[in-house]
Amino acid sequence: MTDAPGASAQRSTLLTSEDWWAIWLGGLLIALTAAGVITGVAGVGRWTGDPTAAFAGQILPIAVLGIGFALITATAAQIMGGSFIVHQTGFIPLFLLAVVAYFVANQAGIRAAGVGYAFWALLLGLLISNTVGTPGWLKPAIRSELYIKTGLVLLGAEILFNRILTLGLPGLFVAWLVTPIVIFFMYRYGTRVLKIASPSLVIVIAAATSVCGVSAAIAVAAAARAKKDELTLAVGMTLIFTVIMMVLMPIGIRAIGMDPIVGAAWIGGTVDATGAVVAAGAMLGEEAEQVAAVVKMIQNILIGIVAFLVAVYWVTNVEKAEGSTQPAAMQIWIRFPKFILGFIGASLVFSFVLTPMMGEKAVTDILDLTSDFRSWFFCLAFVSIGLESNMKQLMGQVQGGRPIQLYLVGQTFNVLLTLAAAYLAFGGVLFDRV
Amino acid sequence: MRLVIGLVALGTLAFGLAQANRLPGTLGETVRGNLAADREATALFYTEVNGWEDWTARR
Repeated sequence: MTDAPGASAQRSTLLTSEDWWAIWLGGLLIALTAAGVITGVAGVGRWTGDPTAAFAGQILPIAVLGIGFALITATAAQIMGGSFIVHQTGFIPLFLLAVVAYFVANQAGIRAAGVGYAFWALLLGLLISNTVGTPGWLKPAIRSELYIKTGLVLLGAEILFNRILTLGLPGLFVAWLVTPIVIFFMYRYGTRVLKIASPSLVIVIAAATSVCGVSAAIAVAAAARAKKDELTLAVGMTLIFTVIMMVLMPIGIRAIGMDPIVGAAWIGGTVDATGAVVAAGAMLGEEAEQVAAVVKMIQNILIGIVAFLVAVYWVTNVEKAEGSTQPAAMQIWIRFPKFILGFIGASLVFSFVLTPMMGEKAVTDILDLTSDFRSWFFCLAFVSIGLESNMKQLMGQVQGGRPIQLYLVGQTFNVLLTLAAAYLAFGGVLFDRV
Repeated sequence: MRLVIGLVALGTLAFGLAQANRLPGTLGETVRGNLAADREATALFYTEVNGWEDWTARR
């Protein structure tokens, strides 16, 4: 059942836009979790040799989770002008593909190699869309933007600003000094020197390289309205290089006899995914693992600020409406990606309201659950993006290797600058040695 | 047919990655370390690492 043409346009964007629905869905899940209504989130288990171990005692909870997701997303789809039934029909197979992605990623060896669900979800989607083609009945459930943005609102809750106070100056120096410089350098280099036609592709690669990999790429892609193929390319490069850096950086640091604490700060500032940072840092020792994690956590806090600034820059500069008669402030508001308000709002509420009110432990327990929801939404988003991506168009984004060149030059710049900052902050030059 | 070939390729890739801990010497060391510690190396994003608060307190 769909609305008559034009009917949805007459309704408030609060009910018709995916940006607002991301806030409603993310907010609903956060509220239900914080209120204690939701006390657990089903997931695919870890397994080594016996694949059935992944689903031991989990089949019914996963089915309930899938039905729950189907109901809330179908309700959103219906109110946005789609069909409840048609959305649900496509959503169940989509959810099953997400389950398969998790199943592969949770194999002990694959998990230890650092190749997570995002990679498998993308690959599964790409495989289907570029071989047998994405079936028509599946397409109504493919709402990448809704899943990404809902996941981002949930991610916002995990970014705790109050942590900054306890993280210490050396970490702030490494993470916050280098990151904006690298983003600025990569954006200028990509648009001015490499002359990559799409500024959104450049900023997505720059954010993925300098902040926190896939999470930053998703957030900035949504803020800059990047194409799906652009996000796929940036995420693909990031995932591959993250694994390479996770393996090679500790080897290199030990080979040259670098102070493990300086090396850990270097890893924290350069390796993209948080899990890979911890894994690489752990190879240098327990204390190094903690230093690497702390630097990464400080850098992770920047994700919201970067996404907000990119959204404002895009609205006011890159996509500036020409010849508009509306006041500038109104134009900015209309074009601004509203989900960022949910993202920042969730972060502020958890940092400055819930943590003082409920305490660190209670908030951590809530975030354990919301982060599981967030991962499911990201997994659904990556399956959807894969199903929407065409390899020919994806190859078109490669543009003679320029995006890869941008990533490599930017990452090299990032590695060198972070090394200098890590040495100054953790080597006893600017601050007392740890 | 292309789907079958793709699935076989995907399976092969997954199987190969599952053997990454068998990489010789230092190349496989991080993966072996992750396996031994049951470490979450695939996490895209998280904000809690055991002991980080102790580290900042020690400073």
